[in-house]
Amino acid sequence: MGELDFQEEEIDSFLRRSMSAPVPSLPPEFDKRVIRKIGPEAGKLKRFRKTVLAGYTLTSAVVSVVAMRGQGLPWGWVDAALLGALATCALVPFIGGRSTRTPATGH
Amino acid sequence: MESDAQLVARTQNGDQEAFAALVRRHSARVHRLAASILGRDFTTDAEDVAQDVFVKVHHAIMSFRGEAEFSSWVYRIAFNRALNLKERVRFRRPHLNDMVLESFASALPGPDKLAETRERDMVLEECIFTLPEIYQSALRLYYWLGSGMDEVAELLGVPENTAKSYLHRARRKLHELMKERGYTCG
Repeated sequence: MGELDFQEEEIDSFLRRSMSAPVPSLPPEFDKRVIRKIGPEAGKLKRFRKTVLAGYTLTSAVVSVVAMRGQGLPWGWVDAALLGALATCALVPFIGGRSTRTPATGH
Repeated sequence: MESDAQLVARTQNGDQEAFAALVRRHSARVHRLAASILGRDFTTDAEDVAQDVFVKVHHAIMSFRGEAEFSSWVYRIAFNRALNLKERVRFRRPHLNDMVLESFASALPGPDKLAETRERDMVLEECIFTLPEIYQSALRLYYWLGSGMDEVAELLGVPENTAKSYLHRARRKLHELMKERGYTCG
């Protein structure tokens, strides 16, 4: 036990000596840099995502209608299938609750 | 002073100034944590990690419900982010070979001693790199970045006693590794 304590002290002072080096610090304007980075980019990304989602929804609806009519389904069935799908999409956030997971942590 | 929870709530309502306050409050620690994972050769990368972490936090903040402390959440993101980067940059790590050490020996005053110390520090750094990441981070936070035990524990997301035991085990392991390579720690 005595030897362990001695070793511990020895390595402790060795590490203090050997690992001492200038400590890096962030530039004073760091917070402004982060805000600049997130501001416009976040807005643009949001708009882009919305546009892509709207385009995808519209295209898939049109393709579905064409396909279903091509199979000879009556308009009533086509309407019901489309509205059912849309209603399911609209209900998902309420069924599952708001997503709380982030890729890094799962909080 | 507003709490983190209040600033988070304001940020979730679109208040950029509240987010800037969160960045100011936590950036130094996030940077230290990133530097402790990446090591002394990658301090510039640690700054980039800190920036990425806050950009990511901003994107994910709507999903933060406050079940954990905001700071723990941010530090965990920073830890993972820095680890990912470390995987990518480890091949960039500078390596001092014998020629470089010899040039030290011939160019500076007290050359032999200096080269010897330099070599031993380099071996130490190599030994540190073989330790588990969490031990490496604890060592660098404590010995290089001057964090107290409470800060080491908070940044690593463990109780203080666990942080102490990380350091204890890391020191013992380093002592053994240095001994195996023929270096004393005195």
